[in-house]
Amino acid sequence: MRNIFLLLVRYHAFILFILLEVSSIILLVNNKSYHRAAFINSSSEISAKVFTVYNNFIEYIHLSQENKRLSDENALLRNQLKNSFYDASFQHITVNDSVYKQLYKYIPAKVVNITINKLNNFITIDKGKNQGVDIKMGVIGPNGIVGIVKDVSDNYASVIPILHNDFKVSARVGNGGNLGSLSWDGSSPEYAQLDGIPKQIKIANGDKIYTGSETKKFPENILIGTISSFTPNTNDNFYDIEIKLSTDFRSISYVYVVNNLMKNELDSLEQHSQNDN
Amino acid sequence: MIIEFLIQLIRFIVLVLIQVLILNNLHLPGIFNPYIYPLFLLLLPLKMPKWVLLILGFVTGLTIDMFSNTMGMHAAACVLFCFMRPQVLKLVEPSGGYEQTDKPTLSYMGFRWFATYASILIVIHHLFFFFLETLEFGQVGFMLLKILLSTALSLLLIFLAEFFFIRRKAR
Repeated sequence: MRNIFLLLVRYHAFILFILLEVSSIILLVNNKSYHRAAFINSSSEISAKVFTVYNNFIEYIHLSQENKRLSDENALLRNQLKNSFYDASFQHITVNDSVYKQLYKYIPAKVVNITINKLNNFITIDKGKNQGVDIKMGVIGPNGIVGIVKDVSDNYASVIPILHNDFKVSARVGNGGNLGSLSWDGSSPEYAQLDGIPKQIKIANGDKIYTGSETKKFPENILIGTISSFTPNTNDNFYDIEIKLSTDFRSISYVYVVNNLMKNELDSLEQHSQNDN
Repeated sequence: MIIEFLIQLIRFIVLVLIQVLILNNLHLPGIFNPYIYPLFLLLLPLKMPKWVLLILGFVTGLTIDMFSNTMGMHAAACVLFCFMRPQVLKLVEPSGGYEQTDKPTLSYMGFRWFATYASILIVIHHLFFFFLETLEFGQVGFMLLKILLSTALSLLLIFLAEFFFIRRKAR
């Protein structure tokens, strides 16, 4: 007993070293799982507060650019309003519109922190559980898709952007084109890679890439980017496609969280049919 | 004693803030990832007990992890850093041994001593950190280049910070 005690005293530094190193690695490995509850990351309240304070200072520098961007977007949306169209019909019949039911709800949020030059990047936004944000919701920006919510705390959420190893979304070339899978190889924050487009499909540089229809996180036909280059893969039947992302992650500061109002229904339906098999 | 503690605490806060608010947000190409916060661990007192050093390293790493969404990666690198620090200090020990008043800073120990001491430890820290970061991507060439360039940039920043303090003292 005494010997064990002496051993512990003598090698206490080494033992402590091993203990701390192992707990670090455990934290690292646990963090990989997608569904992990928020423990320590930038959506935790303290670090998010620091980022918010800092961001409030920095914001003033970009205020004029940001105003212009927002007003541009406002103008675009205003153009789509019903009252900006001339009504050519003479008859007016008011009906309770039961044909269109609202499917997506957008929650505007401000980016309080973003990294772009790591291999796994993150965005922290200033809306959380209290504002209706939940994990696995999609996030879009004024120019296209941005990412997926990973963790939420009461007033903040952390988002996995396209620029992350775990990010995958189904994408479609052009209008009615084939579905492929979008991912990021970690090299440049402006480009992502599209996989799974068969070689027999005709594609061209500059073709637009949109979100596919079977993703529940994003509305259909949200812009992702344009094809900047492509080469047929020699090993399989698909192209290797480089996508120039439409979202500029270097300057993004306002985003919208997409809440799919029928997601629960879809999920439970799919769960149900899976259980039957 | 209390003043010494306060100096270390302020240094910790300032370096963490510089790291997470400025350096982490520099939109440099992905291959440059400078880290200045290990300077805090470099400048801790020479005679610090090993276990205090290890726990401080762990806490420092976790703090940085909290702000940069890297859970455990900085903590692991810092713990290794702190474990190696006493060995490196022994390795670069001047022939007469350390004096009671010595501090591991550039102004006390001179440029050559500090450069060797800082370089060895920063290389250890960066090697381990980028090794962990690259594990899942498996691009070895990219990792080596990244370690080289990031280490150079980190060291440059650390020397600049130290030179700044020397000039302040001389005035």
